[in-house]
Amino acid sequence: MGEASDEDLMARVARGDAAAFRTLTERYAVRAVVLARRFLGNSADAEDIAQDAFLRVWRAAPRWQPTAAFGTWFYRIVVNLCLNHRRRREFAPLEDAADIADPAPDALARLARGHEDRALARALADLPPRQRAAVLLTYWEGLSNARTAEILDASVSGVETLLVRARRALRTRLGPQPGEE
Amino acid sequence: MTHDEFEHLLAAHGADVALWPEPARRRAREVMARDPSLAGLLATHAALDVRLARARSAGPGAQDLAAGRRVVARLAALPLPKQDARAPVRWLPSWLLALDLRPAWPSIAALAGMAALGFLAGLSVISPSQLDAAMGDGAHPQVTADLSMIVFEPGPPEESAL
Repeated sequence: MGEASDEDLMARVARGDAAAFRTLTERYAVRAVVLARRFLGNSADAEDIAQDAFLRVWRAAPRWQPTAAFGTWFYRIVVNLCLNHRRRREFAPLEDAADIADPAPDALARLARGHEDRALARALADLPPRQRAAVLLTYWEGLSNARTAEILDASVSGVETLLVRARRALRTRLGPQPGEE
Repeated sequence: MTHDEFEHLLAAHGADVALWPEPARRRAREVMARDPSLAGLLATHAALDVRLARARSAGPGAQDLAAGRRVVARLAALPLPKQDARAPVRWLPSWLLALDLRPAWPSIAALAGMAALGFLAGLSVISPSQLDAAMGDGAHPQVTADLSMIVFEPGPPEESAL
């Protein structure tokens, strides 16, 4: 028998099934933490955001309508919590690059790559929140522009505009990219 | 195709023109043949794509996996709150519902009441003669009530409305 779909689990969660809720949390906890950490630049805050997002899922489950994928709805909750959280606290970007896996064969390349990753994290940190969310969802989470638009409650062309502005800002802040010149 | 349209396509489809949908791909190649600066712009975006893709391909690190496990453990240890079975307010955007933000009508009503009281209190400090002068003749009834005596103490907004 295959794994229960997110939507099946949510139907059970809506009836107060704590085991189904636990399965959902196990399925989405890392994704929630990663997205929140990349957004906020702070692991401890990211854990709080993830926990809060799951508690909101639990509370709102009886009202949930499966008109969109559960993942889309859940990402929306996480992103909105991050947007609200960000209004209260400043970003701490340097923590972000530390755990990016490093396939570089030698120390010098590793050092250079770490420097580039930190620069990218800082440049992302400087983006306005919605541009930052659009970049994280499309380029880092690998979601389509249409799904990102659903999560950000925007049109697809609105998301593309956010990405155009974000990419301009990133190019300016990062300067010449590796491989250029 | 303008420079801005070209950048919009870059954002929508990435820096690999071969992956763009056909009409846009053909027009992009035409405009790049006429404007060499666009090739430079494309190269810059391609390098940025590589950098972003590298961050993505790294996937969650050990810290993230540990953080995920902590979240699951904390949620398993917490007493789960009461579920909210109230029907959703359909005209509210779902992201507002997701944040449990509901209309704050009681607060809005209290604010409107305060505004009305302020208006009335403002009227009360204008003397009848000033009012007559402002109205242009003396044919209007005199304002005699001391409206500032009205005491209005709005109750605290309900917690559920915030």
